[in-house]
Amino acid sequence: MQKDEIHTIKFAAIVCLVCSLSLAGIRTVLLPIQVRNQRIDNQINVLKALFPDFDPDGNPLSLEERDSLFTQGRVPREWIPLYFDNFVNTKETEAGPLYVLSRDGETVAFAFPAEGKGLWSTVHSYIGLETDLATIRGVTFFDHGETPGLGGECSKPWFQRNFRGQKLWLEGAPVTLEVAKGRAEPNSRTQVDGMSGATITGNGIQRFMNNIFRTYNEKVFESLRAEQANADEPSEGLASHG
Amino acid sequence: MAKNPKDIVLDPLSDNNPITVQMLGICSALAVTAQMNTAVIMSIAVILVLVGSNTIISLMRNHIPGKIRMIVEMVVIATLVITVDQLLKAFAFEASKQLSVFVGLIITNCIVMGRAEAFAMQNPPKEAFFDGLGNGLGYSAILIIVAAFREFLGAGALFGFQVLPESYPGNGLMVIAPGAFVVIGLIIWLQRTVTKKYEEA
Repeated sequence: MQKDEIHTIKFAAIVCLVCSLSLAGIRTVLLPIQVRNQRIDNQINVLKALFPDFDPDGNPLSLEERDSLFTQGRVPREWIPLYFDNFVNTKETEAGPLYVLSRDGETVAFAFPAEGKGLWSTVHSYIGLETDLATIRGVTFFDHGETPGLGGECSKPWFQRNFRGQKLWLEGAPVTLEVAKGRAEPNSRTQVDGMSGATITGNGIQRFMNNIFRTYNEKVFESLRAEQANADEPSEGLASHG
Repeated sequence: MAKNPKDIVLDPLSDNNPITVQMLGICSALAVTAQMNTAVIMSIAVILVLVGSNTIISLMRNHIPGKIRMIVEMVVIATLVITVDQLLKAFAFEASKQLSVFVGLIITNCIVMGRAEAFAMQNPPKEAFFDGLGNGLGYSAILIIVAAFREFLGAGALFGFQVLPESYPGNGLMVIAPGAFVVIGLIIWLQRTVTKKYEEA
């Protein structure tokens, strides 16, 4: 009996040791690759918000075609970190990170992260804005545990394309962007088509997008707007004098 | 139990299919079959885990103390599942994101534990290897058939490619888990009609 128990304990100890050592080994070897994947994935998501037509699996481009990256956002996956570092400037603000896409020193678009509860899980997202800080340039929803085919549709292109050109800011004040139940009203500038069977996911997305836009608006965009207005003033002044 | 490897592999494909005959692993068959892509990756993951766990447990079968038998099986299975999950995260990042928790949940898949208990504990490694392979393939076959039905009828697509015209409205039932129940039920009905094997009532 005594001998049996010692064998049991020995056996359990050996199994645990072998399993934990092999897992630790595997993790150590794979971690750098996983971190890199995670980083590229995150950059892809920021780029998707900045370029609505962004295609991470595009074919390699020639140097002359590089310029068209700006209009089409087509870039092969392995170029993404380089591309990101060259064109996207990450600013830490009071509200969180703000990604500024610029070209030849001129700002082209902004993006900021947003996240909130869907039905089952936290839905992560980036929201891309035009330089007017009012119009949505692109959105991306990712890393969520919503029901595939229902709330999970939020990571599909059709749903995300939906948001392009919609407004979060109209006539000098924030407006509430709505995820409709079913189809959005045609020509509405503040409503997008909903996902059928996923009212709660839609409501969650609506809530966090509007809330986080408002936070960024108060803490970051107000001052950016003031800067933009200041930059415009001298030329207006000249025009009126002339 | 002196069956040859061919029978051990082929038996679970139909006559002794883990899903449609033994009614095991139904939970994951409902969860990951909305699309073909996820079903295929999940199938590969389950085959790897089943083959690995069956072989390792069979190698240890004469040394495992009876009292902690199932715990040891569980530890081996869990280690393999986490390994597969880590490999997917490194080399199939997109797929691992889509499968999310379901790879981890292979640990609780009744087929893996069931084969360890019912077969690997009593048979030599070679037979256990083929038993794992056969059951993995049997599971995969059902998963892929169900996923094909669901993606085709639910979204009009296969492997993410639109097959039916864009105007196809999509069948909402097929997209959600109960749709898989219906499809699995129909497969079981068809299989029993063809093989003429019925459960004793």
